[in-house]
Amino acid sequence: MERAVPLAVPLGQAEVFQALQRLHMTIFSQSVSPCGKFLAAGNNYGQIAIFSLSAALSSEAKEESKKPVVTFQAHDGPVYSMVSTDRHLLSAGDGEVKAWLWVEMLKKGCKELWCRQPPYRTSLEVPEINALLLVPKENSLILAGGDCQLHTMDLETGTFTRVLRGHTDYIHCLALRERSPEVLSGGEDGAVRLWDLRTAKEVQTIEVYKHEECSRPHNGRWIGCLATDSDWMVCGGGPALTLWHLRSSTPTTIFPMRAPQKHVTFYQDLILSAGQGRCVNQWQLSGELKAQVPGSSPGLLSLSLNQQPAAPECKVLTAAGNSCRVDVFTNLGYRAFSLSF
Amino acid sequence: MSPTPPLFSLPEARMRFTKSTREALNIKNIKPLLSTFSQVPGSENEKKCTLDQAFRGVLEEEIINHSSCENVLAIISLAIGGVTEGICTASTPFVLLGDVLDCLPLDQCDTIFTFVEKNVATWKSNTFYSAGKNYLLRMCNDLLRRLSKSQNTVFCGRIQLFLARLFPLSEKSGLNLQSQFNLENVTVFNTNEQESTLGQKHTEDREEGMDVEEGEMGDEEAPTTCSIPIDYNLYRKFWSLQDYFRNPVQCYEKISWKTFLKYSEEVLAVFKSYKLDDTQASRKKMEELKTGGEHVYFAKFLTSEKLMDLQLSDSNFRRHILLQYLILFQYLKGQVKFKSSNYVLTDEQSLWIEDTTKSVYQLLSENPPDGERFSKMVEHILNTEENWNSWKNEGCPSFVKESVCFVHHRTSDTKPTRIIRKRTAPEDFLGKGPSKKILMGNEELTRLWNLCPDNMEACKSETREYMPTLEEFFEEAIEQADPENMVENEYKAVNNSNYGWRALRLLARRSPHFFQPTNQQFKSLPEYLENMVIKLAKELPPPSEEIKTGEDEDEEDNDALLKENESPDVRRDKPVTGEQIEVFANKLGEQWKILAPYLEMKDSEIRQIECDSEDMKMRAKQLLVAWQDQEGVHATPENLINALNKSGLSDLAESLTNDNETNS
Repeated sequence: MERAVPLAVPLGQAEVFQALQRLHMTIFSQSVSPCGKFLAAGNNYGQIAIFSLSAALSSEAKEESKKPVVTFQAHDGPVYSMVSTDRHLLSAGDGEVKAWLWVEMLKKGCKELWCRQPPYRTSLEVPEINALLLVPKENSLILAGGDCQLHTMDLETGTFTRVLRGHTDYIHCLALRERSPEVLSGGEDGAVRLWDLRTAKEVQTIEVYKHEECSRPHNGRWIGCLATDSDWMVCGGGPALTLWHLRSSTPTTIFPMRAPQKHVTFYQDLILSAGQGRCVNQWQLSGELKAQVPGSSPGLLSLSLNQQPAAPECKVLTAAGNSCRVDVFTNLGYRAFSLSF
Repeated sequence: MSPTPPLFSLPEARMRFTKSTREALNIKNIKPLLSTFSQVPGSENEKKCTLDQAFRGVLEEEIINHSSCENVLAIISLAIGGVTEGICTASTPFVLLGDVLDCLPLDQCDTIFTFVEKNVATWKSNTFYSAGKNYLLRMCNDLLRRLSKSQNTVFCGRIQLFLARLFPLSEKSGLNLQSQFNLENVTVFNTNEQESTLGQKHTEDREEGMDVEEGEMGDEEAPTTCSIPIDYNLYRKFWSLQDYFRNPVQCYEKISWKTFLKYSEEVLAVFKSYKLDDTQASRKKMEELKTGGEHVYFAKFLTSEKLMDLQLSDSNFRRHILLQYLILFQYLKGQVKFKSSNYVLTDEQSLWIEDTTKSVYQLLSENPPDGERFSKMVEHILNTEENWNSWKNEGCPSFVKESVCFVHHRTSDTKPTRIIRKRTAPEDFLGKGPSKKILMGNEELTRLWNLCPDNMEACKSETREYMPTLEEFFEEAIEQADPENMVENEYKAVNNSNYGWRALRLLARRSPHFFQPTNQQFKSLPEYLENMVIKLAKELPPPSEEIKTGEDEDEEDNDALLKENESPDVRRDKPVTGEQIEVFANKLGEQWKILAPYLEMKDSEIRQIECDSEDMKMRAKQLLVAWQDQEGVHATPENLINALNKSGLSDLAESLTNDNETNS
């Protein structure tokens, strides 16, 4: 493999290594701080970087403002998902979930508060944790990933309360339906399962690939992204990005996007999605593509909307994926700038 | 009654005129003035001037007494009547108008101006136009200066329209002849956060919100807060572009150009990625922020940071900016007479401008509503603008076509203008013109044709003789017929049917033997030919040497034929020969350098010749050779003589002419 260092100045080994790392970096997850001014991003090397959104968006921002305030090694393996409570940042990777205090993270050499592993069937298993979900009503965290099960962990005590089994293949994504409360999980087996948290049972299964309108067998049946808005759910991945009516389990709108989507979210009256391809796509609920705004990464894996009420000036959309850059959109119409590891 | 006519007395005349004017004003009729005019003693001019003064005096009183506009206008109407009747000078009404407008407040000026507008036809008539147009122009300009463009827009518009109707289309006083820019139109925006108006507005909010900020992550200096995220980077780059639009000549400087390029690329990239829909253009959302309340002369952009997002999503705003780009590019590319000569675009810049123009048009077409139509219209308008530009460059020639009228004699100041076309007269085509060359419209064709202009003669030239002589053709056959050579029958040329056929034709053309009746019966063609060949062989001298000399003779004959066809005049138009160059180079010697520029030699070539050799004669010769290469068929002695005369080496020119003549 040739060295892809295009700089004229001869670098030391460390810098070369860093440059190479940046080239091959993938950012899997993002999370916004409770104050809204910081953004944490986790990558495939297990590092977490904290960026200061308020500094980067301020009027006297310079190039250094677009670099992380602090970067540290969080996990041994990739950081697949992160979620923030009002004081902690929870990050999950290969088989373990760690918690960090937001206040502490900005100082160098910060240590995790705790580290837990959900109970796996055998001690040899180290399945990756693909998705984390906070259930604020019962103050618990749901983890799901490679072992095809949903684990619930109580955040007060740290114990694992329940295990939801039903998926036949690993789980990609989770979504919370506030009212019921129900959890939706989408997985590699092509099914979206709804679980009632009180009874700990599966209440509904939607096998997306079985519906002709949205199935795309050439892509596979995997469900890569899920988002829900009480009665409605949008999911995508191998099959086409589709809007479903949950009660009747019928697909109502199919979004004409060829590339598999990896992240989808509802925003005001739009649906934002991103996946293979440079652009963040904005859809109207009717299925029309409203806008496609190109970002700087060749493919996107996560979108994050900073809707923290404490920092309205940092209300931006950030998108990250197959590169070391996090694109910041101040206005959904164009990419304003990029933060970079 | 005294026999001498009474003298003109100014005070008395003025008093009488003033009284009479008042009378006329009261009854709104000019008759009293006419009668007074005829009664007052004095010459025409004196009386006219006095009446003018009287008018002014009366008007002054009326103004001082704050009388109504009606009265004032009545006086002016009287003055107009007076001009028509011939009792006062033509400029009086205008002077009066000027006085009135200078003295009255603006609201009354409105009424006066309506009067002026109504009488446009009068002003344009012959008696008034030449006297009054400068007064009117000055008057209107004074009014415009007094008025505020933003508050009295309608009045300003009326004045401009009036001027447009009064003056002919090509009147230069209304033009921006030198294509100057309004350099004072500066767009103000916040370059650093100290100037930002945001901090000031929100200080109250901040004080209240202090307590809430405990949960912050140890960030001591919170930047000025605002309720929406702002892309300062884009904001600054976007508004700094306005400075380039204000003063386009900045683009010709390298550094400014680079900045302009960078910023433009970013802004256009934003436009490209941020596509607009019809539904998005919602003007109700626009907030108004005061820009400081300065007096604005031209419409200005609102440049607050908070508006940036809204402006980006407004399709009309986008159209403004894209149109600004197109106008700027047109100026940069265009030929304007008054542009300084160092304001030229480099190739790279031109290329970038071409590409960007295309993408700007593309963006315009995509811009709702009706993007395509708008884009086409803009293109059309800018193309028309080119015509105006070239009109200005030519010094604004009049649009009025002078009709060519041979029958009716016009007055001396309007001569019928005939368009003189510089077409080559027909004589030149036929070789009877001064150069005695027949012009075929194309260099190569002309050269080819003029090798021998007379077609019939050309056809008669020896080179067109394709028919071989008897000796040539039958040489082979004669040799073969010779029994000594022992050529076998089957190899003889005469047995070849093709050869035989050609031989017969040749014999028919050239040989008398063909037609001589003979009693011999020939069984076949080859036998007949053998017979003929033998006869020819007897007649002809020994083949080999004779044929060679024959060919030489032929060539010389050909040359002589060509030379004879030339007329002495055409000879001078033939390119110089090598000999002539040699001879002339010797004569030219050191003065080759003087001659060089007149032969249209470039500096680089002159230097090359200097470097090549030290010898003057060599250099002269090289100059002439280079000139010959360059000119090709036009390297004639005549042109050389012309160049020599131009360069002042006329004695050399004479000697060359003499040489030519001696050679011919």
